[in-house]
Amino acid sequence: MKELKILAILAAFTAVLYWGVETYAHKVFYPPVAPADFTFADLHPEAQTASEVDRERREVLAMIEQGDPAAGRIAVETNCAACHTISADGIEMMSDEQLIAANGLLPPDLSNISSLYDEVFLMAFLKDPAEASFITSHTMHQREALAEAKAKSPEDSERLINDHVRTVDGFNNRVAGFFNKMPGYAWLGDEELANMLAYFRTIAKPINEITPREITMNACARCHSVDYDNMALKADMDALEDYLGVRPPDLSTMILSHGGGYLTTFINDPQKHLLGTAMPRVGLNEAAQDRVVAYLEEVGDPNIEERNRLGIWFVGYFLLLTVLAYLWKKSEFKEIGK
Amino acid sequence: MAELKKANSVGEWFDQRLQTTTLTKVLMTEYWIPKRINFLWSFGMVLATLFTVLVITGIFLMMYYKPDTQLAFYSVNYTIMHEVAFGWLIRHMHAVAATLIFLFIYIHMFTGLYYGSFKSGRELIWLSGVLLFVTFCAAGFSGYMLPWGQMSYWAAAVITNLFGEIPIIGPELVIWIRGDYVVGDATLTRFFMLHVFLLPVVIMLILGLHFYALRTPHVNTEEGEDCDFEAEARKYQAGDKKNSKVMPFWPKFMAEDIFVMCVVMTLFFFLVFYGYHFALDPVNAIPADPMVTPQFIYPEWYFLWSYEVLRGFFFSSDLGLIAFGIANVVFFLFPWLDRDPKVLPMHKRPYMKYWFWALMITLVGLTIYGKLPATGPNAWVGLVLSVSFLLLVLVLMPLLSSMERKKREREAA
Repeated sequence: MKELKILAILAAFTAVLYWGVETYAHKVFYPPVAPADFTFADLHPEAQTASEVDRERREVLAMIEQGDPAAGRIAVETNCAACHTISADGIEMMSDEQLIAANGLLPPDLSNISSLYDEVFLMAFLKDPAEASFITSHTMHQREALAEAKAKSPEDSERLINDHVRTVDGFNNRVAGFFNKMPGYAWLGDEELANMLAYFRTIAKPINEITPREITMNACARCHSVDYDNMALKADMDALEDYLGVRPPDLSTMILSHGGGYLTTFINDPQKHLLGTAMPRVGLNEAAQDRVVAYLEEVGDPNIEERNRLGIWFVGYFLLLTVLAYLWKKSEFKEIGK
Repeated sequence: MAELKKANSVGEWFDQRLQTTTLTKVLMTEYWIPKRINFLWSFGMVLATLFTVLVITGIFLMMYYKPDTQLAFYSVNYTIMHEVAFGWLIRHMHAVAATLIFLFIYIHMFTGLYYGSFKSGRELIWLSGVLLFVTFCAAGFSGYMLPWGQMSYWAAAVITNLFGEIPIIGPELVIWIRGDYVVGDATLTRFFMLHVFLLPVVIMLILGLHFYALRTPHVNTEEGEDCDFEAEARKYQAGDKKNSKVMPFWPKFMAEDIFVMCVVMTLFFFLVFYGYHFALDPVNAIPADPMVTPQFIYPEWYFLWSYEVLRGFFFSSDLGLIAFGIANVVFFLFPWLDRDPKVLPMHKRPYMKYWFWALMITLVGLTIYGKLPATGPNAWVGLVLSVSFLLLVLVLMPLLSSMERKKREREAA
């Protein structure tokens, strides 16, 4: 009985320590953020509720549905093919190397974009890439963050706002160069943009036929390498550093350093975790983004299956040994009356 | 040499040459341990087991690890974790054992403190134990640098920098420790040497002293009672095993030890497979980058309480450093800071029982706040806890224990 009491005290102290240095500290370091939003609600600033967002999204999707793919193909050839390949349709005006030399990085191949990226996001992105990617300071989240900071500590808010403006300004200056590479096409008009997206629908493979590696290559590899899977950076690193102000990290161990939960909200909206980060929102839809996270897990933590399979045997073996050791102890202690 | 008779068995052959029968008696079957003990007495052997796990897994890790700033991160995170068969298992075992060993060292130390096994003849057991603790800390710190991740690099930079605060020799000392003006390749290679050679050898030597220091004063009991080991041993050998207050190390004491060891190893392997995250800081999965300071820098959990004593005096780094220095050596002074020579467990001591639990709560508080950013109210909590710690060990420990001694003497008179 006394030994159980001692054990309970040890367990209680250990539990409090663990809670303090792991659970609690982690919460302080990485405050929880809103879950990933795959409706990209901020693209519809007018919409107040989820159902209004949904209505607006359906309007955009209906426009694409009614678009003319043949007209879209012509518009894509005219406006996109100078910088992008569309291998599924044989449109490859330059090699990857030539494109990197011309742009500093490889503009993604457009064959499967309607399977990988949210189409409503793509519509907004084509009109104003910087705005849709959260690269400007006029975003909902940044305004929210500022309002929150103000509410939390009014006396500090001036300093916070100044700090904030400084980061965002410096950041915008850096990023201006980057997004010159992808100009906005709002001038084409909604109808023509819908035609282009209707065309992309006709050539895209269904998501199940695209490997997670291909998705990651399309969405991430123009800024990030994945060394542990021999995925090379599709860019000139020095040129990238000029555009972004930082050298984007290799993704091999991202799943270990940040975890799947963080990556899910971070890729969906990088500004949520790192306000002012140079990483743009790329607008992957939920299915595609899940596959990217799964791919990073496969690359960064390939032993999950083996771990789960072996663990039972090790723990079971020592559990059995514990039972035997207990019986032996009992028999040894019997003759000495302990 | 006496005339040698032909040996009838392998055992006898060795006995003739090494006196193995006598040796077994001295070390095992006639090494007497008191019966009035509980499972906390088994933690010494638990620690020896975990140390063995660390040595063996460490040898395997060394076969692939490369102590070079260009190669270290890759050799750990790719070669060992991905390419080597069961490399991940070996690394998880090493990391989890390194973390658990500190938990059990603290439990083992505070068991000694609680039951009064650190004074009145047992000083050398305590001193060699604290020396082991310090050496393990050095081993933990040097080992943490080896994967060359962000936390490896920045913890090393911050901690080695502390030596720079030492008057006069400080700045030169930092360069001497690092082998360079900044933490770099020279630092990594020398910490590799410390971690895989010098410190393990020193630990093994002190471990020998620690075990040997037990023999003369004998193992303490739950109640701190005096016991005539020779008379009790005679009683046991005469067959009165039930009424004797002692039992032999082998097989009786080890029967309990092996049971506790099995429980710990079950927990250990559960953590190795399903709960290893606490032992592998996620920030360390980012390669070391001297140009990018992580948002939060903190040492491993077992250093947090003394780190918080250092940060606690946020208004004066000199005061903080002095307090930090005291925190790191004060355990050595415990046998003399306790002014009551009578060996009693804390629950039988009228004032010190409160002192003990106050110390435990202060240490847990320091550990938790040691990880958090030391800003706003956290800084003040840290100050209160740091001052409490110093008051507890430097003022209240001698004061309360001498009050207890006087009280007991008064009551006896």
